[in-house]
Amino acid sequence: MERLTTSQISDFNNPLAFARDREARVGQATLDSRSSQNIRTGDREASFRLIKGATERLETMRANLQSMLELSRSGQRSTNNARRTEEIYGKLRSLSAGFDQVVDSVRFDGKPIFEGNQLTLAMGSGSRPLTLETSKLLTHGEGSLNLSNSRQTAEITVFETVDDVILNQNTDFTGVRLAGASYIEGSNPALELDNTNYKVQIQFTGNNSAVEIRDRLGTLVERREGVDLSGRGREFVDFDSGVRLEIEKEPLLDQLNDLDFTIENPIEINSSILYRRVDTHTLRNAEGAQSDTPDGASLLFGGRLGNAETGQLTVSDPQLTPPADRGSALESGFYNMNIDYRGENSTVRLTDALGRIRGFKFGVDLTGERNTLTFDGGLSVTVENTGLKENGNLQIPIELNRRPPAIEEFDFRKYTRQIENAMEVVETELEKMLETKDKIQEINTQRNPNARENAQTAASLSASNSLNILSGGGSGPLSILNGDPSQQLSQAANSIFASTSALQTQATQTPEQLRSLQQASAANLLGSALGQGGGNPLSLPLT
Amino acid sequence: MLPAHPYATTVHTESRQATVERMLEVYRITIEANSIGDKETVAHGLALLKRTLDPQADLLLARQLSELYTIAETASRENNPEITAEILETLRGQWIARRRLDKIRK
Repeated sequence: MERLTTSQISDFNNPLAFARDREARVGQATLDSRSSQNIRTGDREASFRLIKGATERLETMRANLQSMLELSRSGQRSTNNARRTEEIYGKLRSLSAGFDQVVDSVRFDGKPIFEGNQLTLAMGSGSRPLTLETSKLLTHGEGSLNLSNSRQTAEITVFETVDDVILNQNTDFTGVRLAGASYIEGSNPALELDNTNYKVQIQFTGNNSAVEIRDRLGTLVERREGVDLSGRGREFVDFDSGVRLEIEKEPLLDQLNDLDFTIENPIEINSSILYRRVDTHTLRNAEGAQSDTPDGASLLFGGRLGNAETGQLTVSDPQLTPPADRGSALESGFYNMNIDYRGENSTVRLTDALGRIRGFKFGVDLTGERNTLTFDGGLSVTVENTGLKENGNLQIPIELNRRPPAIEEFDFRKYTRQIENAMEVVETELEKMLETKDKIQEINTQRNPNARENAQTAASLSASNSLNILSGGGSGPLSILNGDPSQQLSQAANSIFASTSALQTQATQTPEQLRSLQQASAANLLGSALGQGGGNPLSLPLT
Repeated sequence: MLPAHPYATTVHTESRQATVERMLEVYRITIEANSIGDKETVAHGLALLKRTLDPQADLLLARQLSELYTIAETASRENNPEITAEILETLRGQWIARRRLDKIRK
């Protein structure tokens, strides 16, 4: 494999790169993924083609694993070179994802072969069918090759459609915009959004704004009220459906907060999001990586300043938020938050276990009833004030758990052993297939004594046809695409120019039929335009 | 028998031209939809073309076209838009050529 550029390395190592699309909701298993299936062929010819095609694909898989093995060994030797390690890790991710694609494409009658299914290979009348059990060859999942991990999550892309831009033209001065969206792990799977576009409307009324998610037909999906969008900074709004919206507040006019929204209508800011359910593809093999403490932040004990009678200041609801930039993310550990309360001019300092300052805010107005403090490192807390008058100092210890990037937990030596084990499984599978192929040929020779040994029998089709039957899916033994359309096109051309009534054969559409097609096309075009705005940020070449 | 209305011939010719234009428009929409990956419209367009074939005008051609549309449909479904494009664009080009020939002959 050629060397990767820095941007390619960063793309390949993006957590959501190589993610697989997911149809089912989080935690919902499809019937075919839970139990093994029995795959039956109709006759000896189909059995032979299935086995021959599967053998070819197994050889591809073996070659793929061989490349991975070489890369992993090279990774063992490059532990001191961070760029090289990242490059090798990215390539391994790409290759393992490609491996899964090959495994998934080996199908017969639409059913995947190498997912622990039983094959019943018909040998024609008078012969007992051969049975064969395949192994699970996916790199992820239970009982599989154990070369990657998968986690159910979602990729949410924020974009603005043409109508959003037009509608937002007069609301730019609010400086409020939807800056990002992410999936909240562990949210209610029953409420998970579908794989489609949604509209987000921010109804700005200062510190008591509302945010709505609506589907493409305008039906309300979820609404959050009481969102404080006054002031500057970032605000995170969590929805039960598992979406966390990040709203950026950069008002151009200071007078904005003086508007009286009991008289004025809310200012509406429109955006769109594209929700995509995905299964991540991660290589993570450190000890205990599977049962890591979930991401989150908690207060070691709740402190407060003042008392209930004279008013008090309390800190609650510590949460992880996306860090402002990747480099500054707070890592797991203990932190100390020091609030120097001076009313409208308070200071907040976040220090780590070694006493280094990791976040600092000065001139913060903490006199409001409920104030949210968000640190760039990806931590937010809520400070509640019930009218504290006296100045004072409050120390709050916080424990933070954030999984480090998978590459930091990756052990190349261990992965090399995992690949070697996987190669053994693929070798065994290949031997089984070759053995079965010989058996079918033997039976075929017995049943057709005229067929010469080693000669091409009726059953031994070309490899490409065998592969077609595997990847073609449900319909028929041979894909219709095996026919040459160019030949049929030239025959049709002859008829078009030879026949005097050629045009009458096809030019018979009524204006209504054309209109119906135009309308359908326009509707679909609009739908795709809504989708295209967001685009798929990552479409990576798989090698 | 009353003499034909002087506009009748013109109207008839125009209506034939209009049907050819409509057919070409169906091709155009389907080709465009195929190029942007809108499989629904491609399926709709191909189904319309297939449904409106008139075997009484030319049985052999109708059968050939029907087969080609099936191939195009399958190709579109199986994510081979280039095959669908090749079939539709070639046919559309041939229909345009055929229309020109007919005009020249007149």
